[in-house]
Amino acid sequence: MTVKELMERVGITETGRAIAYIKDGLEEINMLEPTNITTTRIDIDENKRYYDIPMDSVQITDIRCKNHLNSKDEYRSIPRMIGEPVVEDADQELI
Amino acid sequence: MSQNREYAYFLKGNKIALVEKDWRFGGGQTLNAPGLNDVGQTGSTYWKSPTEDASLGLELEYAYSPNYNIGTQHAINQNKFYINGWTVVDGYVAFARGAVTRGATDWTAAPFSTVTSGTRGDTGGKTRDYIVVRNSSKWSGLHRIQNATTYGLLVTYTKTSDRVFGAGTTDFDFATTTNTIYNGDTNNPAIGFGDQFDAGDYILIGGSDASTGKNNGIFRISESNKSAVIAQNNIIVDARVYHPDLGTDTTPIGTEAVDTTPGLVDETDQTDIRAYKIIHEPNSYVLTDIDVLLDEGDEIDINSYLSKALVCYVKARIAEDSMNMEAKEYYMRMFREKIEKHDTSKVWGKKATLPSRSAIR
Repeated sequence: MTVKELMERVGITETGRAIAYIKDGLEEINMLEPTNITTTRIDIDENKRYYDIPMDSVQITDIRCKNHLNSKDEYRSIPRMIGEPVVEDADQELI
Repeated sequence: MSQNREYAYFLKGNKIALVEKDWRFGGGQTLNAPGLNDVGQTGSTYWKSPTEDASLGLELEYAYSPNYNIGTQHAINQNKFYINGWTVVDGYVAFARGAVTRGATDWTAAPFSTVTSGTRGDTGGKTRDYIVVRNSSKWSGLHRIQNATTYGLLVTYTKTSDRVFGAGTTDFDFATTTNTIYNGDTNNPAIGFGDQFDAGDYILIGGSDASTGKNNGIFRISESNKSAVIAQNNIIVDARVYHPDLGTDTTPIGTEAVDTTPGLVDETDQTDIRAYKIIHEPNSYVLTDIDVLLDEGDEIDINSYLSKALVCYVKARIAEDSMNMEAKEYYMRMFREKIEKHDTSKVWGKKATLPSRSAIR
């Protein structure tokens, strides 16, 4: 469906307003039911604990690490930790 | 063989905190490694920050809003370009790529000029040129191009509050014998390079013309001297990094090339040179030919049933604008109902459950 077709169904004539609402709607759809999924791979650095979440992510659906519980370079899902480890990170103040 | 590792994560603000159990099993005795250390365990049971580097070790899978359409097969160095990292120019995010010729990529020359003149995306001048970045820890996603430079930087309209060192049109000096970059006098602004960088950081130099621009490019810093004397507050570089162009370079495409002979040439009192600290992300890349949702003719990248849900959503927002709350709630209910129906329509047949990792087998 094109933007024009949607505008005709809704009965709206302002293109800018329609596109703004469409973008909101697409985000809302992906919040409720992720339809557009992508992956990104980033380097793990020694002694670096904090990693950014990509700016275009609406919802994280999985976090995997290479060689997690295997030694075959496979990516496997990692668990979410309840609480924080007692060993603080060197760049704790740089969060 | 790679080492067996154990990771976990938790969320800290808008960041992912990655931790690793500092506990290793030996790889096993072999003829080459017959010691007892090769069968025992090492480390402790503490969770710590990752104990070793791992190239592309963290994979994030996430949902994104499809307000753009990539819609074409991308080919390396035609409409997909690996970059060496990013920096900040006047508060805007900029992506940097080194090159073997003249040190830094000229984003205005072919093939790189497709970032502003792609044939399948929203073209027609720099006001409507978009790129999608992948494999960047922070900037994966859609960006609009503000300026494609000749000195390696692709400046976007993405605003950031991150502060990364950058200096333009200022007074730099280069010493060829020691591969040193410094500020030889106290002309304003008197920049102490050693104060701004640490060993292991990367710097982009652009705008140098000495000996066909040999001082341009992205360099790895091996030493940072933090003297109180500005002229001695310098950095020493030990390598030039870049992504190879298609041609005779033996480095595989997509792998960052590291030339351990930086090849700086003597140059003094240059006032037209720019220097930026580069946040090094050598596996990230830029996609061009992006079609963004901008006008009435653009296709919305969802299937036909979900587009009906989207119609309900837009109707709800219009009803809300006119303070018709009853109609707004009605259409929002219709919207959610359609999403749920779409969600369950894909589930069919028998279900199987997998035993958990800790189950008895």
